[in-house]
Amino acid sequence: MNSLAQRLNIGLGISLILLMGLIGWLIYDQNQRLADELIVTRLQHDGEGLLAALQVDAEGNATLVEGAISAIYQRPLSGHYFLLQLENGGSLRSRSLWDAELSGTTLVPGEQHTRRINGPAEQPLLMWAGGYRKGNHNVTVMVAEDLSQLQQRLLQNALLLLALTVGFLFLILFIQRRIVRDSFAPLRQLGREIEQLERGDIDRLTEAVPLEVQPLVVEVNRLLQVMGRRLERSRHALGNLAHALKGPLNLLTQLADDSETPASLKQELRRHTAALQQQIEQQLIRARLAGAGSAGQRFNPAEELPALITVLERIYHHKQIKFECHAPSQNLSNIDRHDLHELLGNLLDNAAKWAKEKVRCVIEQNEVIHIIVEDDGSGVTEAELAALTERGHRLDETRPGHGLGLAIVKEIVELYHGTLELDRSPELGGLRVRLSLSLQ
Amino acid sequence: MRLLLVEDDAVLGPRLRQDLRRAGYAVDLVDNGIDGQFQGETEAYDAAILDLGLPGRPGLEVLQNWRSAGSRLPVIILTARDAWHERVDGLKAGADDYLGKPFHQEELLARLDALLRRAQERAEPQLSVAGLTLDEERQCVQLADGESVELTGTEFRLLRYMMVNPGKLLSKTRLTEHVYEGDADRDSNVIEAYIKRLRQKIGKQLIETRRGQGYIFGGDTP
Repeated sequence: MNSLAQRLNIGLGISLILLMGLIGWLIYDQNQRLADELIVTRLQHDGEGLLAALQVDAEGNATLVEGAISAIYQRPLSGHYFLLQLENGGSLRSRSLWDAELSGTTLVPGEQHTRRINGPAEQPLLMWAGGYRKGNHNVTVMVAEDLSQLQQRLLQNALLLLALTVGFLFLILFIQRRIVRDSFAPLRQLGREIEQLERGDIDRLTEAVPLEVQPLVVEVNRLLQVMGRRLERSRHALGNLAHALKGPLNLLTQLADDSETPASLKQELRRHTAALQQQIEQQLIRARLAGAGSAGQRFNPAEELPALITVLERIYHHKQIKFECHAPSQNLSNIDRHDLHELLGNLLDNAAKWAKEKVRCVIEQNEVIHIIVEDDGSGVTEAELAALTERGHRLDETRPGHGLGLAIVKEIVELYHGTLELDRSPELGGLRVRLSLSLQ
Repeated sequence: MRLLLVEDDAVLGPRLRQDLRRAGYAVDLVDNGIDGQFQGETEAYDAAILDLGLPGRPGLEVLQNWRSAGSRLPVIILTARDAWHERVDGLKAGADDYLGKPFHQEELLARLDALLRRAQERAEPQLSVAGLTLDEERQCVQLADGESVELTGTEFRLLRYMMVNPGKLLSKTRLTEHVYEGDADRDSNVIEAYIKRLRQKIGKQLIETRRGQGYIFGGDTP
């Protein structure tokens, strides 16, 4: 279990249960003590009253003054009992005791104690006993009261408290859930932003987030910036390198085209410049590729494809090629704009080179990106298909272009852990290239 | 046809200018972005060939400045930066075509020709007006009776410009602007002399003079 919300709920739940349990127990215990103290005080008063009403004659017979005893001690099993015990063996007991006894030890004057005992009819009793001296006699006074009603009340109180506690527990957990949900709302927003980031709709995360996650967000933004800049810098450097290398190469090419150059030299020049160019192109393109998980810009087919097709229409201005493209209108996630341009550019260029009049291109994105490019050219044989994706392989030396196209395509597909299939287009008759790019 | 060539390479620039001149264009060569932008804004060109890695001001910025100022000058970008995304960005910035280095001279001329035809909304590759057919490769003109007449460089440029704009009143200044390079001696009397020589070669009735205004080629008969 790795949910922060759940952890917080369980933590809070346990502490609340412990706290409320402790409070509940304290309240119950204090109530019990308080009740006991009140009862003992009353029993003591009654006991002292009894002692005052006690009369012992010359023969040692004990009697109580008429009318001094509360009626409650007369009703059988009323719950209020007493027993007066003299040291000579005589004793006086309340009528309420009926045929039961209060068991108790004889105490010397000045001694007192309180204890719980079982009384008549299973009544739980609290008994107070004290030793006194009256006249020439030692008297032990024992007074007891039934606790069952009180205990029932205490139990009721405790149950009420328990019910309230459980109610509050649920209420607090509910409130906590809401607080947690509200506090995690920025995190969910962050999750949505990361999705947008992958699609390239935004290029950095909002930093207006709770203090606790802000360092993370700031760090992510910093990394994005660093990676983006590094990619941009290296691409710029490569652009400069291309510029520097291609200038002289261009002059050599021009020299080969020059009518004043001897024919034998032309041949040599053309061969070497072509080889040079191929090497340069290949290495530059490879170095420029960003690969999966890059932080660069994203490819928006609705915006980029028409421009790319215009580029191709200009290159193949001598042919009337119809480009038919189906692509999603929002940004493609998780793939670098430059990489996809390189991929589609090479695919479409290759198709347009061979096409008679039609090139079809389909782009789909779900968990992976699927791309199909097919043309209505003369197609290729099985043997040619196998050789086609090898680096620098050229099917037709006479057509313009450097034959690197499909090799670059293959390289990009490998960079994105994708698959590449070449076969004959069932509808158009030319070459069909089907590829998928994994985005994770 | 007068072209603006913005190229900073000291060898390639003059070489290209020479090739383009040989192909029958008047060419102004500029070797930095700031002058390039200024020339493109102030002079009447039919197309521009623009390098991207220019000193002073990057080519893409020059192009964007032209476009935001409302210029519709046809532009070919000629650059070593020829990754696909760079080509797309070039087109988005307002270029009409994009050619990567190294290139073959014929490829550039073919693209330039296609670009000019698109700008003139002309579909057929052969320029053919009022019975005349211009052979741009050999720089000569075929008359209605099938006779082929040789033309000098200036005559060719003048005739081509007039054939591209048939039925329009063309002032001497406009003709001078589109036929001569920026640093050439621009004397309008010279245009008169060339018109006279053209009339001798292709026939008087094809070029009509509007006194004090200029010339109209082909009249109402296309």
